[in-house]
Amino acid sequence: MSNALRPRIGVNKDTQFFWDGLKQGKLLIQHCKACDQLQHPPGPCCKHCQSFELDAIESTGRGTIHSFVRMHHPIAPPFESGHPIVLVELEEGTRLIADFINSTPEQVFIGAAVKVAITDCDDEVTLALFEPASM
Amino acid sequence: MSKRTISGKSAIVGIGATEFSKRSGRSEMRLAVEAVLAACADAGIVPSEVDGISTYTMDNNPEMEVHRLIGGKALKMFSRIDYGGGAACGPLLQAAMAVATGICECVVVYRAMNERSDYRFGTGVADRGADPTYETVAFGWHSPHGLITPASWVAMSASAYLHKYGATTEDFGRVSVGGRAMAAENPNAWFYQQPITLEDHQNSRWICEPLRLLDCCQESDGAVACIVVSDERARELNHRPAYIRGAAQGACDDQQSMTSYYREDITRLTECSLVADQLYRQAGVGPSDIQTAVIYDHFTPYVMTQLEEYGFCQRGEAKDFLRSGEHLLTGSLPINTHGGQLGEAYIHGMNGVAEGVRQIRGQSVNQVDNVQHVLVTGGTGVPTSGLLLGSEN
Repeated sequence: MSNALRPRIGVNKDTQFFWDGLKQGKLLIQHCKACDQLQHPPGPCCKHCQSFELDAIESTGRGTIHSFVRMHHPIAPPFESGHPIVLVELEEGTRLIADFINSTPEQVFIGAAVKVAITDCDDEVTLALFEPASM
Repeated sequence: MSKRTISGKSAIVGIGATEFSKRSGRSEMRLAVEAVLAACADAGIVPSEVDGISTYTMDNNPEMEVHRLIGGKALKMFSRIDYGGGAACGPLLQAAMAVATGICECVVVYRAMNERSDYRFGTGVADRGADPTYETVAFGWHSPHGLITPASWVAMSASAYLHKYGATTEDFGRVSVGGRAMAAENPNAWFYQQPITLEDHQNSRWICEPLRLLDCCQESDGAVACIVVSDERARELNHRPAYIRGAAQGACDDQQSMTSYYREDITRLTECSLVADQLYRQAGVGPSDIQTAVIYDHFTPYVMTQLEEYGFCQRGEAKDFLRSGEHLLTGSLPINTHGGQLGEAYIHGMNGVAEGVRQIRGQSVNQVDNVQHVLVTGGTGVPTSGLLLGSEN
């Protein structure tokens, strides 16, 4: 993979914990202490009960492919033409977008079991990439 | 139910546009003014009568400057609608409300852009810096993974739609072929006299699987404007009025801008259903009362979803609707008779509003018989909008 940098990440006070978690090797999901529901992407309050009393749980990092694409154009390093990007549904029920690595074409299908591969992409950016669960 | 309504109290009486190109060679402000003046002339009103303006948040031309340049005297309402092409019919809602409530007598809406020659949307958001504003933070969930373009954002939902309903990319192609067939007859369309086949569609290169090049609308330079006045005034002017029987906006169901991946069913555009319900209630009509529609076509998959959400077919059955050719000029609901944004030009849907007006007037190059009601929809995947035009109020 190229040494070119991925797009930078905008972080605010509501989302800082998520990115800090990745730096510590943890995939976190925002949790409401009032109603016990989870939400992603995170926000300043619980979308279910509007409580501001929020913390986070650590995800198992396991899930399934809910949908996927293969990106062709425009393409710029570090991305390679045709690379799969997946919408993962975590075991805990929330979803997130992830670049899908270490996969063969046959391993990219809706319903496929996947697991997180937290990756330091460069000095600034650590991402929750995903890969086939059988890896 | 409330008796308060905007339905039938205003009409679009003038439409104007520049040519549609890939390089206008003029400033965006000039495009805006040209289109606004053309719309005034089409209506038969003096530009200085304009006392209200509504446009898109993304438009770069300030309302005050357009008003100043057209010789405006008193601007009493100026407003903007966000979410890219999702705005489309929103400025018409603003105009209809302003006229129905007596705030304004003559409202102009416009969209003017050198999108193709100055800042192509299709190049994506990879180069944005990192700042803590809402939009940048929202992009941060997707762009570092390479999901950086409008096509890619739609493709993620489209992939799930194909899987759930057994549709194929050929069904996307049927939308594209249909749009280009309409454009082939339209001298103002960029793709005039350039129809395509389903084979052309299938052979076009991947942009973001499952979307090919011919699933994506054009990128264009150009401008379109419309004039809205009261129903009484409308009857005194140059053309058969296109009465605004319904106008609505919608956002719901864990709405995000282009990336509503966290809602229960990502194959749906529930905000379109919210708009449809409002339009049909305001106008007192249903899908079967509509003879032709302009269905926002930045990307073909969402045309299918909209056919379902606006009630022209059951959920998952848009593929059957398209396979039987119901969307063609010979079908039960000809759509995008100007060629759409796939065929005519990408002016963020405002050119679709103009086509809706032409169908009411009987002036379309692909005129549908006995048009009483036309549906026009705004951009999808974002908070959206819709317009229901009628030949009577």
